[in-house]
Amino acid sequence: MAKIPGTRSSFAQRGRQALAWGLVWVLALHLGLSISLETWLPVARDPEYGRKLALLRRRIAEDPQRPLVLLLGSSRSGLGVRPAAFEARRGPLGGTPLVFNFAMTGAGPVHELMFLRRLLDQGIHPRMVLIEVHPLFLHQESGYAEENWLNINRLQRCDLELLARYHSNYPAVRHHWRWSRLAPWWAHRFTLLALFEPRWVQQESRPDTWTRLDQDGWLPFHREQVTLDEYGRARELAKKEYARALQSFHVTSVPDRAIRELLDLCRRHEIATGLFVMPEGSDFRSWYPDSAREKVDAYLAALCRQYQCPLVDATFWIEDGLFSDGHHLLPAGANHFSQRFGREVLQPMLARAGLPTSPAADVASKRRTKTSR
Amino acid sequence: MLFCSQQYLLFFLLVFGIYWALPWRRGRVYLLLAASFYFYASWNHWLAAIIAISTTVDYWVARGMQSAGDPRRRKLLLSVTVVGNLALLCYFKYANFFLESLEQALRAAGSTASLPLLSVILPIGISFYTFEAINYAVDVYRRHVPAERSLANFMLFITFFPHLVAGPIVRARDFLPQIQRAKHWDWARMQLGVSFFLMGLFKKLAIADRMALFADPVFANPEQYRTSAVWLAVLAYALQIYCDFSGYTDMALGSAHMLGYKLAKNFNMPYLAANISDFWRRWHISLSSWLRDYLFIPLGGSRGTAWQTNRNLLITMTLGGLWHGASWTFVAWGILHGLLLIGHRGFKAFCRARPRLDALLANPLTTVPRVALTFVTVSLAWVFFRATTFAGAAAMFQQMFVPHRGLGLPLHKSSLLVLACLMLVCHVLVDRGVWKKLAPRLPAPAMGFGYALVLILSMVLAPDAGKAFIYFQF
Repeated sequence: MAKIPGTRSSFAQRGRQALAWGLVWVLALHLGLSISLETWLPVARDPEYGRKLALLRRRIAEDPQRPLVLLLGSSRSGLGVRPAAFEARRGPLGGTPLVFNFAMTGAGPVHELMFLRRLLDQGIHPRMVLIEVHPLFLHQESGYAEENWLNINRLQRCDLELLARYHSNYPAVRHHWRWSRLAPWWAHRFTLLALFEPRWVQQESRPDTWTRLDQDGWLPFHREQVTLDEYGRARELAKKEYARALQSFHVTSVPDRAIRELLDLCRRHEIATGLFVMPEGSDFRSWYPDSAREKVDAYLAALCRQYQCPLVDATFWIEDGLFSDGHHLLPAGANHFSQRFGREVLQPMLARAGLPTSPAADVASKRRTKTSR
Repeated sequence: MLFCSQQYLLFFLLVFGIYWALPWRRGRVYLLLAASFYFYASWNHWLAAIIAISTTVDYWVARGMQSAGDPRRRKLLLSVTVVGNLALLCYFKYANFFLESLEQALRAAGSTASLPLLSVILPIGISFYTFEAINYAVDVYRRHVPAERSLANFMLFITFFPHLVAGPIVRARDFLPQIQRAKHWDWARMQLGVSFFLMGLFKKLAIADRMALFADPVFANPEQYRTSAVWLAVLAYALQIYCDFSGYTDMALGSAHMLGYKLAKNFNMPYLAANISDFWRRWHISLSSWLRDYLFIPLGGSRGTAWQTNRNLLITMTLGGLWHGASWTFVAWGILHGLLLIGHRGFKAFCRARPRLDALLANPLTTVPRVALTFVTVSLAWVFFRATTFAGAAAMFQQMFVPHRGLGLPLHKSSLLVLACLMLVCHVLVDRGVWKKLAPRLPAPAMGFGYALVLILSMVLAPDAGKAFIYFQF
């Protein structure tokens, strides 16, 4: 029976319909966004990972035959390793490995393992993985744990199984993650808003930092130079963040298990590996007690012996003026470091792994392959 | 448990589900009572015990007043409950303020005495529920309402969770009869409740919390910012406090509607007020009407001479300022509004004697500048309300009125201006009755889409989670 407009029952019917439609729209908008985040908008879920993945895919698509050398690490590597500087001598023939900087902010062994697992799941199979070992991430206790940097909203379903083994409060992670999946408009609000109007997002939540990434995943520090004052302030922040942890330094279980699992994973997938430690300024180095440095060295030496992978300790490579805060490199520092890294580390590692190191070597290697065929 | 938090959402859905599933009216009352105590105890268990004890005492005293025939005994009981409630409020809210002020006064007089500070925490919402308890006692004393026979009903009146922590200040005569009334599921009322709740959510998350990003850093260090930035920060604070408080009220009204209760309207587009007197008829209506009925009128109201009326206004507004917080800046804010109201009364009398001027001011063309002037005046007064010290307020005014160079706003001003324009447009649409005509004609899918859009925009524009409502501190 038709409702007479303006009667109590017509208001009730209208109210019911409007609320039902509201619910349908809310569900549809959330579902639509969830699907978009999983398919064509991964950059909104995790801007840093999403942009690096998109760049990596683009680079692979340019020449799918090029062997991939992937660099995993923290912001130290993200700002400090510029793959383009390795390839300055690359000739017109191509074929040299594609070196891609896949380092991420706050990434220690657990994150590195998580990112490599994701890439393998997505069919990206590097021939070699260079793994940065950040000494501070070897000591993960309470305030210094890598999990403090974990952005749960950005996790993928496949990451949960990993975190169940590594996170100190996995039920809370799972709970938060489920909520973020149920309400993606809330969980990813900063990145979504920044897609439309970045000026409406607070600086610290702005994801457009990652638009400065170069084609090989290097993120240049936002300034060419810092003043002494700025350096001093940034160094004090770094000191506040790290110096106390160094006083009670010891290698804890979580990073040890994660780094071993990462190396095991590479071994299972026949991926060559190499470990490296990024440079630190003299101030930063002075915060290490002797015992901490000895523990780091001993641990890494034992690990490399066990997994038979090379280790490069570049702690002392760069002079103080090329850091923004004592451990993150300025663009000039990144160039300087990357050239030496390419020359002294990468080429020997590539040669050891049987990968072409230069155009000439690549041509020779192709000839050898043809002959053997 | 903030209204805009995940915990509240779960809590409310649970209460809402059980409430409407219960077939017994008394069962629903007990459920709401239990839920209200749980809601309050989520902040502090002990403070929930205090509210339970104080409401029980108020209940028995009112019963005593009802049954007592002797006027002196009734007056004594009224004094007991009013003084008891005010003592509770003074102890928790003002004890340290008075001690600090006394110490400062003694030091100014040359004494070196140091007075101890009490280690007390402010029970959330105490200013609101003590006023409700007082208005109930006074109404029972005046025989405007009968004393409630059921302790559970009375406790629910005081502790009903939607209004418990920041109002609106409900009156017994409005709320108690609603408890008695049978509640039936009503889709139209659900729609109304959802609309109110979503509107409040948008005001809180998308506007108030965003405006705090502009206002907070500037009020913290005004001397660092240039003049234009400080003016914009004051505008941002004016929007923040309105959207924060009226957003809370809307969510309270919405939650109550969904449970079949109607709370008093607390705001009526106050920034469209054409004068300061009109502003107070539109801003925090439940408080201003409380102050009128239980303070201004008992003081003599406007029945005496102009001087007496002005004195009563000043006392009322000063105490109203102090009610907001234990700080001299709130007192100054109250005094300033008192003086503005006195000035407006004087100006009104002046105009009444000049019919041409009166007619000119009544002309709609002059309304826009009058509204603008009122808004600017109220916004400037907010500086005292927001600044934590007089020095801070003075620094704000200095930056505003003496041109200064300095930092720009902490966030690009586009979101401030866009949201301010949005608010203005919405106010005008509602004020002109456009929304009232348009809303019933919208098809249900469009209305539903509007709800979804408001919810999504509230989420996306929220700068941060978990920012408490400003009025929770009062």
